[in-house]
Amino acid sequence: MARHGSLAIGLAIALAASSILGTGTVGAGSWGRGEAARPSGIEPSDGLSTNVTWNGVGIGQASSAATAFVIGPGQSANVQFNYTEARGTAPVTNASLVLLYLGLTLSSVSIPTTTPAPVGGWQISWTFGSLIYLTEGVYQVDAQLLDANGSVLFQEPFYVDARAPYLVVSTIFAMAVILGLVELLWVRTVLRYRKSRQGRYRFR
Amino acid sequence: MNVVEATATSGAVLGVVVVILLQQLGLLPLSQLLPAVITFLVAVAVGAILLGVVGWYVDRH
Repeated sequence: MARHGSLAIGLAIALAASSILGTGTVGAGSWGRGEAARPSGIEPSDGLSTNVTWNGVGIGQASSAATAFVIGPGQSANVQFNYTEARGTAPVTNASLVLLYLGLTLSSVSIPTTTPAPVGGWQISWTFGSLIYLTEGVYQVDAQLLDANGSVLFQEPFYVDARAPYLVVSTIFAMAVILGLVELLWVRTVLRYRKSRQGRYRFR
Repeated sequence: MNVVEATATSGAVLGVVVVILLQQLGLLPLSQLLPAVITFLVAVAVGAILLGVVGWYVDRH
């Protein structure tokens, strides 16, 4: 009985440890790529050619969670939108960056222009904000170009990895460890209680 | 609450914690609602089954 109890507790420890510490192997798989969560972008309409960069690097390079752009607290990124509208119809009037989480818009930065032109560009200095300490993690950002009616002419999703020093991640890790330890302690208590009851009955 | 129920409940909570941890470690984006909900449900189910089996084993022996 004691041997089985030790085996079960050992198995529980191994399961808890693998579920908590084995994140690296999970991340290397399909989860880390985040393809399932990534909506397809809206290709630019005919005649519209676009180029969006993050600190000089094309946002296409951060098309998955594994290759996300890293941003820290107090840091800002220069997002440069450039476009050329060959036909001159439906001119671009607005550039925006939309941060998504659980299908909701966490933040949106939008810069309009009052003088639409066939060729133009915007530069947005983007920061994650002070909430980075509470909401660190990987997020999808949609780079969009819109016309005067608010219709999306171009949309390309990319990923941003917001990193904050310690705090939340370590807190959650500590919670998981404490939860696992409490669970094991509880199972051990139950085992001891049953063992004592069995022993009492045996000697009657 | 018996051993199996208690361990399965703890496993479910642990599954949610692990998913949030993965998101915060930059490994698992939860941008879209439906994939995120499915991910949480799978994590809860897997956690509950794994620790529930452990509880069942302990309860049986």
